[in-house]
This record gives sequence, structure tokens and C-alpha cells, in this order.
Amino acid sequence: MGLFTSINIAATGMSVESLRRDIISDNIANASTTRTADGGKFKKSTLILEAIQDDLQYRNPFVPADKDSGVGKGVRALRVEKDNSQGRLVYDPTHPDAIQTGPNTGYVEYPNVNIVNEMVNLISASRAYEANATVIQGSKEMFQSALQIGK
Amino acid sequence: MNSFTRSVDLLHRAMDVSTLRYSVSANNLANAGVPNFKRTTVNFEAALKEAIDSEKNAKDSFVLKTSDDRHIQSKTYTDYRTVEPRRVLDYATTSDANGNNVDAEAEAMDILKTQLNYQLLTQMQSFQFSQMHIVLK
Amino acid sequence: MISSLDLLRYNASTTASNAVSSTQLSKALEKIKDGLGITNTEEGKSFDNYLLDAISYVNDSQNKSSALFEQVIIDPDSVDAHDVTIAMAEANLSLSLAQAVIDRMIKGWSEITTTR
Repeated sequence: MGLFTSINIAATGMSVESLRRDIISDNIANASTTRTADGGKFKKSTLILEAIQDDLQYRNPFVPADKDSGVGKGVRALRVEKDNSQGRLVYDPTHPDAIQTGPNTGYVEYPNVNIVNEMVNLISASRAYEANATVIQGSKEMFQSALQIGK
Repeated sequence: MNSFTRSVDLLHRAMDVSTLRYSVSANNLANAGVPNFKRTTVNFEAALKEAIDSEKNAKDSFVLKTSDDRHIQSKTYTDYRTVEPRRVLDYATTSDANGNNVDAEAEAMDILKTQLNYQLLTQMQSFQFSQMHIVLK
Repeated sequence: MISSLDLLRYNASTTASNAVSSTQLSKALEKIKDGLGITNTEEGKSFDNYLLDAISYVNDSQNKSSALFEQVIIDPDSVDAHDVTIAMAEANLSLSLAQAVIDRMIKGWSEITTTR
């Protein structure tokens, strides 16, 4: 247990949520992009998270002391994955990015970004960010009140 | 151990548990979006109450007659200083669709309560010391 | 002429007064040690043993708080805020208590030696 354990944990939560916010804003900004710099179609990105723990997480409450990894250390972003599902197809043969061959000739594939979903994700990311900020604020107040002992 | 040192020690232990509970709740809240994460809680007060009650009842408690040291004795007296907080993985509550069972609002409420509890404990500790200083003036 | 009864009475009164004064003093010291939380008492310890125990307790609590200060500087993640402040308050209190006791003892001693 230390002075700043809970502040470190909440800081990992805040950095993960701000990464999520960045990914969401990238998805929303590219909601109508039909081509990317390396030639493919734009696909939305999602964030994969995991809890930071040194050992395996046991489900049994009777964990022996040497297998216990202690209070967790927060959360980290494992990787940013591309969601390769099919995007929206819009029929527009005059568009420069229309598909030339195959069953979808003349269709333009727009990204698989659903703006409403992304906005909801953005709201929940900002709510989680604020919750972690409240944790840091509370920890600071506890520290200050501990300093008043013996004054 | 007189009443002053006993209450200073008890308050110190309670503050340690409160800090641990705050860190555990902060970890739960930071992991509120991680799939298959299960929250953790801290148990301490029930065990402490049992130890302190056993002190009060130690005189007229039920003692079993044993003829060997290895015989198991009924619990008569537990020193409250041996009670430690335990972190328990809570896998029995219902979870979200992605297997995460952290309720962010409830967790935020727990955090607030723990913070206020800690601040109250520091006030009580401060009171103990200041009362002694009044006598020395 | 001192009769044996007078001698007996005199012996009884002096031993009684000695017993009263030493038990009063040791009771007072017991109370002080109790206040500081020292529990290693044995029967038959003399006055200066009590005093040395009390002073070593004060010294120990000062050392404990400076060891905690070192730990905060070297490894801040291993110690809590309330550990440090409680150790400081205890060291402060035990030192103030010892100072008050020593002041009273010195005042009492000087009162006794300056009495005609």
C-alpha cells in the first residue's frame, strides 16, 4: 500500500479512456471516407482492453498468499483492432471509387462506422474519464486530511 | 495496553483498511469496461467485530476440556490485532453482456463513502492526540 | 529509656512511611508508563529503571519516525500518509509527556533542596 497507489490506478483508467476518445473521433471523422492512403477501404477501429495483473486471475476466493497478485494495477490498452465487417454499399457508378468487378459493380463501399454507436461510446468514455478523475480528487482530499493528524 | 494506545492502534488499523478499500474500488472503476473482469471487495469489519466481542465474553465463555495441546479448543479469545483485511473476488453478482460485473455508479458511491470514512477516522485520530496535548499545557 | 514497644512502634512507622512514599512514587511512574503504553514491567524494579525505560521509549518513537521519513524519501509507494503522520504525532506526544515529567521532577527536587 502506498501514498499514490489509487492515483496510479485511476491515471491508467484516464489514459485508456482518452485513447478510446481519440479512436472514436478518428472513426467519426472518417465516416464518409472511401479510400485510405495505402489503397484499401476505411474500416473502423476498436480498442481491446485488459486489466493489468502480474499473475493469472483466480476465481477461487481461497487464493493462497503466494499466488495472489495483490490489488490490481489498473487497466491497459492491449491493441487497437480493425473491425473488418462489410461497410454500407451505395449505388453510384460515376464515383471514382466505385467497385469495377464482381457482384457489386457500380457500388461504392462506405465505412462501417455507425455514428450513433460512436456517439454513445463517446459519452460512456467521457463518463468513465470523469469517474476516474473523481477518484483522484478524493484520494487527494484523503491525503490532505491525513496531514491534519497531530496538527 | 491502556485505552489511549488501544484506540490509536485501532484507528490506525481502520485507516489502513480504508486505504486498501479505496485502492481496490479505484481498480474496479478503472476496469469498468474490460470484458470478463470481476470486481473485488474487502472484508474486515465483521472479523474485527467478532474479535472484539470475544474479548468482552472471554471471562464467561465456554471452554472445552482438553488433555493434550493438539486438541482443538473452542474459540475463547481472539486478539483484535491478529485480524487482517481480506480481498475477495466477487464472482456471484450479475454481469454485463461482456462478462464485466462492475456497476460504475455503485462503485462511485462506494468510493465516496470510503473517502468520507477515512476523513472521519483522521478527525478521530487527531482528536485523540489533541486531547492529550491539552493535559500537558 | 526506650522501651521495646516504643522501638517497635518507631520501626513500624518508619517502614510504613518509606513504603508509602516509594509506592506513591512507583504508582505515579506506573501511571506515566501506562500513559506512554510501556508494558514490560516486572516487580521490584527501581526508580531509575522506570525512568530509563520511559526515556528509551521516547527515543525509540523518535527513531521510528525518522526511519519512516527515510522510507518516504527512498520508496514512497511502500508507506501510507497516515502511517507517517501518526508516527510523528506519537513521537511528539511522548516527548512532550517526558518533558513535562522531567520539569515537574526538577521543580520538586529544587523545592526540596532549597527548603530550610
